[in-house]
Amino acid sequence: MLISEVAFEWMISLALVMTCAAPVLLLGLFIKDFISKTIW
Amino acid sequence: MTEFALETSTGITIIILFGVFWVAFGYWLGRKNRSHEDFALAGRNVGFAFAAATAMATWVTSNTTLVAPQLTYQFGIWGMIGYSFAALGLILFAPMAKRIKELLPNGYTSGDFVRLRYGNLAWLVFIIISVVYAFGWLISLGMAGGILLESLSGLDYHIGMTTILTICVGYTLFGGMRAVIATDFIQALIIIVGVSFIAYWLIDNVGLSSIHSNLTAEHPQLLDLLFPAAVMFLFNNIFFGLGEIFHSNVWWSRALSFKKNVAYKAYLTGGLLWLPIPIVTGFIALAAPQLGIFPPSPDMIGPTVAAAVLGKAGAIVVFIIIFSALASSLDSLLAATSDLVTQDIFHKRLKPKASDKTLMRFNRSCILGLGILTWLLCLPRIATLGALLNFAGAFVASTIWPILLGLYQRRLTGGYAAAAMAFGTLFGMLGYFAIGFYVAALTSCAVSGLICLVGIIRSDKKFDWNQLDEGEQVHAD
Amino acid sequence: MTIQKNCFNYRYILLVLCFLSVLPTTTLASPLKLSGPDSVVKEGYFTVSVSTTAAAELNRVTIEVASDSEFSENTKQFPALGDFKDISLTGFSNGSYYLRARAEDAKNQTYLSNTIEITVKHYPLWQALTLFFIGLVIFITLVATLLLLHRQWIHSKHHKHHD
Repeated sequence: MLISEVAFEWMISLALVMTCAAPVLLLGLFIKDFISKTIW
Repeated sequence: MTEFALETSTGITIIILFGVFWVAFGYWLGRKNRSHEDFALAGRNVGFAFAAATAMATWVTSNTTLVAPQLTYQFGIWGMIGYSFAALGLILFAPMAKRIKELLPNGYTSGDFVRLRYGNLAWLVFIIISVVYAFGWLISLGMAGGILLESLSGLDYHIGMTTILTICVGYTLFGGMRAVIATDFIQALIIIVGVSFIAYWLIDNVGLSSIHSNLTAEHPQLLDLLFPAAVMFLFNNIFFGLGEIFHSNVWWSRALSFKKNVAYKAYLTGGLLWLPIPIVTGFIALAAPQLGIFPPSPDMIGPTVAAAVLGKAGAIVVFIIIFSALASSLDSLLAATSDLVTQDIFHKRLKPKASDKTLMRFNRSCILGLGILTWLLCLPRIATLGALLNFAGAFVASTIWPILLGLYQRRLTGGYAAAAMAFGTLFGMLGYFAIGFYVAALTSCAVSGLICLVGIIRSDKKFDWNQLDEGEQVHAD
Repeated sequence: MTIQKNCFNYRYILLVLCFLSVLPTTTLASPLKLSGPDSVVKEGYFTVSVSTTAAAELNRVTIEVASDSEFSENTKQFPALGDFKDISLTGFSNGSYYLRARAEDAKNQTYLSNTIEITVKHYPLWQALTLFFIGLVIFITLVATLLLLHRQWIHSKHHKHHD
């Protein structure tokens, strides 16, 4: 049973989008912590 | 005449630049450290952004950047999906981290917990498992460093391995936990951006549908959802990941160093951020057959493909990513293991009245000592990375049930916990040698779970949670 | 007398040397030698290595794989990376495969190696699925236990606060 092309494309694309969202989220959280002085 | 993607001099330059930066950064962060608690646990006050990033970055190890592509190359689709399920370890640890932070407000290590909860016998078994695992991981990271530098730039294995170890020991020594966590944040960003860049380039230039059709025609096994060996490996890998995270002081010391109420959401976020990364790195390996790349050993597939398709710029990106991935785990492991030795063996066993200053000095010498020991053990290139790590699966998976039940359940006693860990490990090893690597963690977890179940049924004792809080026992100067 | 004896020794050694140099050439027609896994491959991936006995350096090592020993059916070629002599191949389905190495020397002369046969036989699916379901059951038990115990604790914490 082979994985279909559509499923394959969706899986890789979704993973890539999620990975790209991560740095945005992390930087956002960092700025929030920085402003409220709760980094450490 | 092998052509390396990078000139040896470029490789060395990158390493030295990063090395100087990390060590200086570590030194700068280390100025704030006033006490041993500051050094070992960053003052127990790490905020959400750093907490989530460090959880994610530490879990992105040489495994994710080297072994995930390797498993994808060998097991296909299930290799990468199975690998990404290791995120479950972080996600399931989230509630436990909250519990740990509340149960042990003054605790330092996972060894602390096992000693107070289960007594000395279980502690001894636990420490043996922890040390075997920590060294297995340290060595695999050190070796990965050497192999990476050699495969990308032709730099001698021993020089590369020595350099990476020196840099990580350097900044951990100066900055302690603060340096580890802050560098993890930056390294996390570098890893994610770099990996996304390579994957995007491959999709853009080679194309997802062309990779799929090539594999369907030439290597259909890699797209098979019922690939027997891969199906067998799936849950074994999950239990391995759970065991690694549940027992290791790397994760406990993080939970303890986070601000109150941050631990739960930090681990959950870290896990969700980590989840797609093995799929993205693994995917790189699936493009290899179409590009006509067949590496000399499977663990080199990721770096080789990236360097081959992206040329020199790509090789530099790969080099920096893997260097960051190695460093973000190596530093955490050095710090957490030396905390374990300082707190559990030196402070609690040998010198209960040691001053804060003595503890800090001992912790630092420990980091240095661990670095040197790792270096010595890395000198011979023993096994391929995957083989070394699979062996450790039998050890760590035996701790899953005793740790989980010990945190929440009052009836499991020390004798049964010790037996569960010892026999779990033993049967896991038997499975490893008699059947294969894909049953080691599974067997270990199953056997240890059964012993715990018997222990709970047969026990009539109830543990008093207040025994866990030893209070602040450090003697100030 | 002594000179004669020396001469005899010399000839004797030469004879042995000649004999030794003849031996490998009769058993090995090609300077290329291919070796692979000895036992049946159960995971569909394996590493083969090429060794050369010739003094001259051989380039562009390629592994040829076919489903018959004449290399006439389903022949595929897998080039080695750089001048590495080991090659990891992957994604093979059940069956017998014939492999040989091909390489060129500096004068573009092509050499072929010996042919080896590799049998790939994956684990039976029932065995894999049994392990899969055992793992699944343990995993579900584990997650359920964790969530249950954690919820109990959170509940009891709230009760304490209310008291």
